Amino acid sequence: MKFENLEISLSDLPDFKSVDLEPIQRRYKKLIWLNEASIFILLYTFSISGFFFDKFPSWISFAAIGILSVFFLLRAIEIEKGFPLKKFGVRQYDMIYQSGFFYFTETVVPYKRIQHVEIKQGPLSRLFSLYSLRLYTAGASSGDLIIDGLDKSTAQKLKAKVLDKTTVEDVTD
Amino acid sequence: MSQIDFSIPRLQSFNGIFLIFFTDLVKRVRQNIYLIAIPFFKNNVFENYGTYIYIGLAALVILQFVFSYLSYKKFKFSIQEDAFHLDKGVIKLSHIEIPFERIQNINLQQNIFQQILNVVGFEIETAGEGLAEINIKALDKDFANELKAKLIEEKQKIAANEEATAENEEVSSASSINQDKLELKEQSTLFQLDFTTLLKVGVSSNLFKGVGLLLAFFAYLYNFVMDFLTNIYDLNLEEDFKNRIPETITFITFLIFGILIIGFLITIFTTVLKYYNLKIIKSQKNFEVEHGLLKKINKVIKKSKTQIFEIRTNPLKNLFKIRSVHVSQAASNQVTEKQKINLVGLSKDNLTILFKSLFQLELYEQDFQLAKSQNRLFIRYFYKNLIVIIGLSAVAYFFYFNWASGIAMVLIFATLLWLSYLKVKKSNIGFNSELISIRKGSLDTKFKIVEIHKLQSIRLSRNIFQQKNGHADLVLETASGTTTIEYLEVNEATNLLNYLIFKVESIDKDWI
Repeated sequence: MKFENLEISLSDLPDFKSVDLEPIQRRYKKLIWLNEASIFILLYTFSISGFFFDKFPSWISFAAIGILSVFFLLRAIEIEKGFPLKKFGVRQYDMIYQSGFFYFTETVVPYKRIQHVEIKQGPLSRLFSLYSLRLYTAGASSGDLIIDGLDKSTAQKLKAKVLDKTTVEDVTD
Repeated sequence: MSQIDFSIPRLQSFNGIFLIFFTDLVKRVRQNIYLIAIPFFKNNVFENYGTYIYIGLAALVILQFVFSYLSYKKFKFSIQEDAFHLDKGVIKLSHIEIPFERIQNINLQQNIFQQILNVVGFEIETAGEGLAEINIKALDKDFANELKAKLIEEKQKIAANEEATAENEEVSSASSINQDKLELKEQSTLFQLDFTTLLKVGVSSNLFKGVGLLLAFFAYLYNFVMDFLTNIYDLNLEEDFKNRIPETITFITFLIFGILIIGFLITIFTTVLKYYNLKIIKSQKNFEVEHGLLKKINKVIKKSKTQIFEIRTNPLKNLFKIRSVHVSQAASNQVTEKQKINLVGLSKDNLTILFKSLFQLELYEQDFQLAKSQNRLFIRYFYKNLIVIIGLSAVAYFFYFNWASGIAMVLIFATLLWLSYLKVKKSNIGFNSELISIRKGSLDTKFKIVEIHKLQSIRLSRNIFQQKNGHADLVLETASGTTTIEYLEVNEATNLLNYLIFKVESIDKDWI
């Protein structure tokens, strides 16, 4: 399983854009909203409660609510527009993940460089029976690949795929 | 070979108590340095609360001593059959075990405290897999050497057992440690920094570090003097200043020149202290780097561990025909400036030799295909600078607004924009079949070289504006940190990503 180590022209290179990417589970969006809502409800309660204290100048509360609303709007756009962009792709030698509306990022991690693989499930995601797959490299944590919102079988399949690749590498070494 | 029984858990050298105490104390002071700013905001703090402050400080120092003593008592290490063991922690106990084969480097160093107390610091580096590196602060010199020899011996035994996998990295690194041991016979000095070059290095290094130090000091001093004068003579200097702006401006000009000159001298002085007697010793596959007058530093550059090779020049350095090299090795987190191995005052020939022995390639024969950052990057820098200037102007407006500060703002803004322009012009990424080169900098030039197979992952990042105007930031992850090349054309960036990923996957080499 080796490429021939020849210089090839750019047009002959496998293009990562040409891969069919798969979306993550739709119910993951509900989970994001639940998370988001709980945070914003808390923040809104704080700012509104300012009105009940006479000594507290009310313009601060108004300003806080205004700023919060802007943030909320931005987050809402990010979630609604960004969710369909959250996709992952599996290639022969690497895995691709893309996400983000305001900041669209596409990450490619070769299986060779993966140090270890983890399947995680938080308390909320247990409710939705969703899992997140984490691929750790030796690079900075910003370079790790984290795919949230997978169902169990996909997560395990992906993990097996990655482990298979990495162990195969080890054997041939 | 040694009569010392390393299997008994033992403490550090007795002087270690004081060393730990001093270093902890220095650390505490550093952490709380901002407290010194309090006299800025409150007058007469010392007059009103003096006794309490001194009692409080004394109590804290005593508490620190007790804590340091306990941490000395709890810090125990030993060599068991398969690994180096370490117990430490006063409140949170921790036990660290390092299997011999994971040991990458053993460094001995002596800072000024350690020299006074006649002990050495003992540092074990491991491969970058998130495992804490071990740092024993105080050992007797002979004991430290014995311990180093013992660890190397153990590591070799393991390597010998794994003879079957002869091509393994492990063996090569073991044999290179072996090399360290035999270095007395085989080492050859590649480079030794003479004093004139060292002075040149000092002259050509970034003088703003020295100026910054000095300015902080002056700001502090200024406040104290003002406080003092206002209290004693009961005059309002602030008002006086405002009434005599022309004189003040000449005074300030002199002050600025004075600060620049003294800052310059401080920079030279600290550089000389830091890089005094810099030596690069070559021992087959590795380089050993030694420098420092007060704090002696001894580090090993390993070929396999090297991730980023950075060459820095600036116009002054070019004039002196010297350049510095900063080598980043694999680590479990982003490599800071401090962790980089710095080689300064190298000539072109030194650089060529160093590069060749690390990468087996001729540096000046490398031909890179370049992709440049697009001019739109300037707009990003423009907005960033604008925010800085607006912030500064706001501060100036509230405190001390007149035509002079207005002109100063315009000048600062112009300078920042000019630097941004240079930055945009200089920023590019190049590649050939083995290496990537990344060029950055404004007045100075930072030229990073990374072997393609050392990349961990690659990312394209495009904010909402870049999505519209067809640009992308290319983010490269290595085991010693992240490097971003901003505002490439999106097609170029995509092609680069495709190419680099293809190379990473097809080159049959490991990253460490």
